[in-house]
Amino acid sequence: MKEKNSPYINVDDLPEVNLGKVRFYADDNGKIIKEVFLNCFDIVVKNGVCGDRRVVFAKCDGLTSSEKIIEGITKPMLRFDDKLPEKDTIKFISTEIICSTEVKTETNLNLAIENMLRGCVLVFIDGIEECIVVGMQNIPGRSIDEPNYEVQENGSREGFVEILKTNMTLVRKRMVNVNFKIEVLEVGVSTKTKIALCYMDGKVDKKVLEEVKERLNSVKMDTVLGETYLRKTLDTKRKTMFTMVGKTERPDTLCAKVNEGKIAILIDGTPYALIVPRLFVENFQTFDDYLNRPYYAAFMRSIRLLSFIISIFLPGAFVAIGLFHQELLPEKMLYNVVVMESNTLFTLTVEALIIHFIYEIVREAGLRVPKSIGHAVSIVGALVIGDAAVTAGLIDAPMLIVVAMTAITSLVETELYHAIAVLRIAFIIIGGTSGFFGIMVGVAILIVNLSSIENFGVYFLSPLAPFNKSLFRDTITRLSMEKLGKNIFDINKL
Amino acid sequence: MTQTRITTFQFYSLLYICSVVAAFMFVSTTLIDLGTTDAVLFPTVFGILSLITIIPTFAFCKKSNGESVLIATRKRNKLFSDIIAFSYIVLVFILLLRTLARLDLFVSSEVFPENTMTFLIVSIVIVSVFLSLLDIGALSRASTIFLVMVTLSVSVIVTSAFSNVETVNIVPLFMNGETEFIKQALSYSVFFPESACLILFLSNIKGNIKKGYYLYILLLVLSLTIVSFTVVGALGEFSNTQLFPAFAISSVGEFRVLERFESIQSSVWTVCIIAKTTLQIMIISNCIRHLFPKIKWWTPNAITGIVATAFIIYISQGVTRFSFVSSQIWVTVTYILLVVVLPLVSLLLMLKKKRGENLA
Repeated sequence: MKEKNSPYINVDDLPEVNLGKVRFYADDNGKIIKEVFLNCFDIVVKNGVCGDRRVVFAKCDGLTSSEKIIEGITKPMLRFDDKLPEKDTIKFISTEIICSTEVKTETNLNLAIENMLRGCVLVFIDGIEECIVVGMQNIPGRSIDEPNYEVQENGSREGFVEILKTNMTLVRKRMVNVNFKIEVLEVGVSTKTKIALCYMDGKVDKKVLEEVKERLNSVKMDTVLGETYLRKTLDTKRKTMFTMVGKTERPDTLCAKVNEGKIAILIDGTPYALIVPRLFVENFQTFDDYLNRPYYAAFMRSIRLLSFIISIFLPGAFVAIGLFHQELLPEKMLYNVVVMESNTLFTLTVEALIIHFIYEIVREAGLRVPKSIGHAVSIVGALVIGDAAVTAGLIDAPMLIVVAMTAITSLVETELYHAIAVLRIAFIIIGGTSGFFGIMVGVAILIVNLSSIENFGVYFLSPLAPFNKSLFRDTITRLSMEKLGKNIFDINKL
Repeated sequence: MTQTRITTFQFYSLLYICSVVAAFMFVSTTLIDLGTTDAVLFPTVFGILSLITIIPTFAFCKKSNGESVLIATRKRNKLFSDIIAFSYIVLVFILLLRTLARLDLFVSSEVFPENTMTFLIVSIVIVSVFLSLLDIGALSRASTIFLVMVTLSVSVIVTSAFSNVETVNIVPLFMNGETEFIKQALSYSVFFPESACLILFLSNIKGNIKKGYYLYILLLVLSLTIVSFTVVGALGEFSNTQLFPAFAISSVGEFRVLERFESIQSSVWTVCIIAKTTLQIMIISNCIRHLFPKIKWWTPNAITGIVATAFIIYISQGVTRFSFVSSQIWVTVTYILLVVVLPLVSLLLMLKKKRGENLA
């Protein structure tokens, strides 16, 4: 039911402009484009003559290379002074006159204009209800740079950029294999965003591939401007804080995942690729693990897992011990904590909540403000939290240590940060109201919730639960490359 | 029943933690003396009894071709199937009340003695209802993780309390006579009716059921024996003065930097209790759904939760009410009905129909 005076418009109700077929006269096509893009400075329509016929050129300025257009289209066409053949005129112009490798024809005016908005040049010829679409793109974009979040000690320094074609090239150059396929789809009613499905034929599960395509094709969104728009479509389990849709900004990681039978999705306009399905253990694995010695990789993975546990449970456990289970601590330690606590104004729970909210505010401010003043925010935050709050008696020193420890450990797993931040607050409240007893109730809910997540026939907690001994060799521990090399992990074996 | 497939390892992990928590929540009674060395042999008797009482269940498994009791019996006689479902509802509900009543007693006497903990029990019921809305697969998979936690917890208790074991507490066996031993061992064994779940989730389990069961019983007997030995060795006759003897050993042990760690232990068992109550609510809800197929999918779980909460609030207000729910006679009757009678009756129906089919 559509509400009266509702500020929202349903995607299905969006007005569609149907321009029909390409017109017989070139000038008519030019006029239509001018009318559609009335007052649009970036759309250029020019008339000319090729042989004995009138022609019209249309392009979107800024998305095309003017030099290439002059050399490849306008110069050869305008200089052609012979009579154009009556039959196969389009074919003749495309092959004999226009100088480009990317040439196709289009009869639908809507689709032709869509191509123009993607950086192609349209050539309309008098007497032909078809137009030539020539690829002359020169889309501005950032140059290939080092990834911001997936920083690695070793390995490649290349990260994805916002241009789909560049990203596809970055992946393709690493996967010199006939089985590596890239399929392009289109999503978003208004944005018509191009997305590229990357998979390894022979390794990918065909059913999963079809399901991914089906879900992406069923996307009913007006705009798709980032990878998160598609996450909701690919994730089936809604009532959870965790996702089975992974994200990477590294082409080498994408190649490795695709090689395991997974499907990667590159989205035009975003420097990230989505990967499905993603397992829980993958949050603790990095590309560096495969470039380091196995013992060190296993050690670092264990550290990351421990960091995840600490970042969620440490403040809650500290509050629970302080309020309910003092008998756990040795007398001296208990005495120190009690002395320090007696100097503060609030209870441990309130202290923990205040300090975490301050930390989250400082973090958010540091993330959003320009880099030049980010440091200033950090200094103010550090001073307020670290010194003034203790001196003012708002918090005590042990709590400060706990918060500092938690803040550092939560940054180890950037992909899990959202879940960690919320769960941490939840466990502080639970620990403060019912001690370890309540925390364990929360743990039970969390574990059962994690166990229930399933997407594309794969369980989120596998190969831990359900346990798979043979696949366990590359989870928390990692065998040597000699042993792993011949036996590649396959997601479809889970 | 939902058709989620789970492995035997996952399923028996769930049963194992349900059984282990029953052992740790064991309440001292006049009928069972946990202070004598005889108690160390109680788990062995339980193991033998389990191998005997499972025979009707295994026979049913063979005849039903992997179909759970409700599905298999419905195909043969709808009325009989409904009676079976109703019986399971009543019996498992009694088990659910017993679990919750023990938890209430445990929390209010050991964990937070100064406070009324009814709200905590109610919150556990709410959590269990919420988790029971997920399928058995999620619970079973989670149980494999809980199993690791429980194993660690039990190992820590036993290791820390082992230094307190004194030979003076180990007395000769059968001091009260063999008959008394058998009587007490059987009374102890009927506190573990978890194997009754097997027949209800048969169609969900993949793998060798028999092999898994034997392994489950073996590990359970071993664990219970070790715990019983520690209780007897460390506490001796003193254990009879404790309300929860198995819990009491966690307070005698000391573990590195932690002065006492019974709060951590009790917290770990909370997870197991949630798993156990979730399983019980799941069984009751599935049986209600079997009786009323058109009912909304979440309604049976919610009803079970509400009724259980009402009962537990009523029970928590008087120790005599708790004694009634936990009385040995109830425990024995529910065990016999759940583990022996219901599978046996279902098996007879299957055999009768099969013979009828052959004659036709």
